[in-house]
Amino acid sequence: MPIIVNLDVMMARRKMSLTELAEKVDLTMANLSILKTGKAKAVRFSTLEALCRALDCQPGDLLEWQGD
Amino acid sequence: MEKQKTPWVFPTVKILVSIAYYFMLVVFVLLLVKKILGLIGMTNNEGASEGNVAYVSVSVERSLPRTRLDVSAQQSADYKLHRFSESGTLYVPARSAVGLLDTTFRVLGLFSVVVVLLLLKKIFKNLSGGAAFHPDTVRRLNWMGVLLIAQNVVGFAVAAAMNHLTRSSINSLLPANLHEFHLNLDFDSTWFLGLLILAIAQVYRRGIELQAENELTI
Repeated sequence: MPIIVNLDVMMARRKMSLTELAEKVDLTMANLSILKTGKAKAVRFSTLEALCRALDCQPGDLLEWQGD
Repeated sequence: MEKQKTPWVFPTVKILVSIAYYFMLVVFVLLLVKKILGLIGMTNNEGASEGNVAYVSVSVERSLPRTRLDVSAQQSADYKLHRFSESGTLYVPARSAVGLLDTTFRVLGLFSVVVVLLLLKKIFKNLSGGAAFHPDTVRRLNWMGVLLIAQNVVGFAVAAAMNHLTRSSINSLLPANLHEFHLNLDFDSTWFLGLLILAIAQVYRRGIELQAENELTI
């Protein structure tokens, strides 16, 4: 998929585990895992906002476009 | 607009479907036993008998010339009566080609009704489990639609075959020719319902796609 989610990169920078992040953004581990592994079809703005707030980053830090 | 809550509808319909299924299953088993016993000559199917020969009944119908029976001459001028057809019952031996065709068709027809009700029961079971948009539901709806359409198609073919097979026998019984055959395309026939169910199955398939997309929306 051309849109890459760099969640694991930001989690490593902030030294945050998946469990901790899941609690902070009020998402299940399964959903976060779907996001991390690139299987998600779409992300809600509210989820993106919660992730950016928890990881103290910009949306562009989490989402990257890679051409085919 | 507040969503109306009717929590009793789903469980009631589910129970009615289950009752209908078990009822039709019992009817099917009884019919099957009756037909088998009739074929082996142990009982008589339809009340007409000669010695040990069992009979099955076949509905026949003929079209009449379009005569107008005008009762206005006798009574008021408000009503007119038009007779278009006469119907009757032809009794054929159960072990004849026509009898076997009729028996097979009735048994298969009832069996398909039992299968349709079973599929409906399984759909409701899935819904009870919370899986509203499940691939199995689409598959079952497709089968229901196909079975309902097949009932009409097979019924038409069987009627045509029986009409052909009984023509000479009927002609020998009565001077008037009773071989008028009418293709029944009424919209209360099962083929129309089958078509509707096939269309609903495609809507359901799209629903499954949307649900999958929704589940993968974080």
